[in-house]
Amino acid sequence: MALELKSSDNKIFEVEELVAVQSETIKSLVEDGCADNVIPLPNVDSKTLELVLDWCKNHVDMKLDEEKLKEYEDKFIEVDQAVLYDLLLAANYLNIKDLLNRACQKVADMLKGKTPEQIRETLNIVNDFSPEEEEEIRKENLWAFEE
Amino acid sequence: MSQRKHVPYDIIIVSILPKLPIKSIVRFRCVSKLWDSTITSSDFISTHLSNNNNNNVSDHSYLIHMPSVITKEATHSSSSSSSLSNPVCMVACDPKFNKISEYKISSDFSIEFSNIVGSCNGVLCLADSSWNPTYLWNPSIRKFKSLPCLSKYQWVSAGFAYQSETNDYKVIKIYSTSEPYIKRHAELQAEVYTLSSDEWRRVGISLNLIRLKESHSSDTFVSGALHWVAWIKEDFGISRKKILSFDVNNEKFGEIAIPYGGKIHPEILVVIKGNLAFISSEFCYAPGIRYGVWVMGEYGVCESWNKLFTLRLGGFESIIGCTRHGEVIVKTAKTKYDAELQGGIHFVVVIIDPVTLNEKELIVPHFPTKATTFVESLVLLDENPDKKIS
Repeated sequence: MALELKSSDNKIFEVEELVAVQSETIKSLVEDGCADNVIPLPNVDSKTLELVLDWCKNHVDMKLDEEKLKEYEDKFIEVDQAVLYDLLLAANYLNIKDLLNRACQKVADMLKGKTPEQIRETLNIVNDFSPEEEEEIRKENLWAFEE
Repeated sequence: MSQRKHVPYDIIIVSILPKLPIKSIVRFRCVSKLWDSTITSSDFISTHLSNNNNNNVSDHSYLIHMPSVITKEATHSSSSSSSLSNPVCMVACDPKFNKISEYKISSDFSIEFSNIVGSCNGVLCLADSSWNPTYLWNPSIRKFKSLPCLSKYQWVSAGFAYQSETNDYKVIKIYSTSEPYIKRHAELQAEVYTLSSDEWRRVGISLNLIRLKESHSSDTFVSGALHWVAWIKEDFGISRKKILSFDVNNEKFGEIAIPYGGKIHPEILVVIKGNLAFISSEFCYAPGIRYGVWVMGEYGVCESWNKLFTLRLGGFESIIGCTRHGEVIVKTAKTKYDAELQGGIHFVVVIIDPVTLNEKELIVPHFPTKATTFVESLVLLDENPDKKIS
């Protein structure tokens, strides 16, 4: 059984149901009987959708081979930050738990050694602490700021 | 259009932050006020804990305790305010017993020889030399809380548990008000401390409790209760050795019979694969000591006690714990001298699989007395600044 998915830039992807239902979002649509026509995915562009569908297909194909799957996943997630964010947002929107988990782990790995200032820059966050307030937290937790 | 994509805040909080190492999470309190209040919220602390705390038997991490270094001299001897020169008092290991971190004692601890009452969700309950529970300590975030202590008793038995129904932590102490303790009809009393109330209160003991064997109940939490070996008086004046249970939820004491009417000598109570178990010493003619490991297949059912295996150890070897799998953790008589390290003598701990007889060695810097399960967590991060140390 094949499904048709349409990306935000109007590209149609034909996908086997077994592959597509890795997405809980699509799975619900199928179960509710709403998947007969083309399923629009306005939050995912074609470039990202192609990657996501590749992930899903490989998870069906390699289901029994844990080692091979891990190798695939490690290679798959080696992408630049912009693509990583796109994958993360798509996995969230489509509710694909293992992809979301893996993408989040990758982002966590990127963030882990950073200083608070670097975090603010990367994630575009405004610092609303006064210098005294920030200093107080630092003093309370000096060990976390040591190498 | 290349708009900079932002990861939604809720994904950061639920799926990304909990995956970071604890040091990073605490450091990121400085990012913004929202991040600070989120990280120190009890919801986030619980999310982080469930992310890391796999209840899978094979995923437990362990902590080896070396409390003999926690003395008044040790804590106040370093003239510098940094605790970097304090001795290591705990070694944390992954499920395969590879060392992952070492914890140093806090400069603020004021107790003499310390004992570990228990380990729950990354928080340790420490007691003084008389087993009076004194501190709750989370070594991963270097934070501790003093327990209120109105009177110190001798011969205290204690236990520490997490009550999932109320997301609260409880410390129980059982003590005698009369001296000497070993008097035939010494009256035993019990008090419970809850973290949420920050108070001790009396709880009744409905059984005829004569005395408890040892003072620790550190890895005996199963079926919602803590356990100790105790002598309980039955009808007709006979007192038998049994297992005393304390249900953490309804705060009631109960008893569980041990096999052969108490003629066996349980030395240590442990939990193996989710079941209550004990390690008993057995008489044997050959030198050394023989131990038997018994497991209760069905909680509370005496007939379900089953001896899993026996183990023979040499002199100066002692069992300091058991993994959830059933491997026995032994402090051996071996020491290793390492000239490069400060105070070069190190002790050898061996983890023995009783089925395959495979052994794994772990070297620790001081005399090890106990091994408990452990997990790194942020619990106590939301507690008010009691005393904090760097």
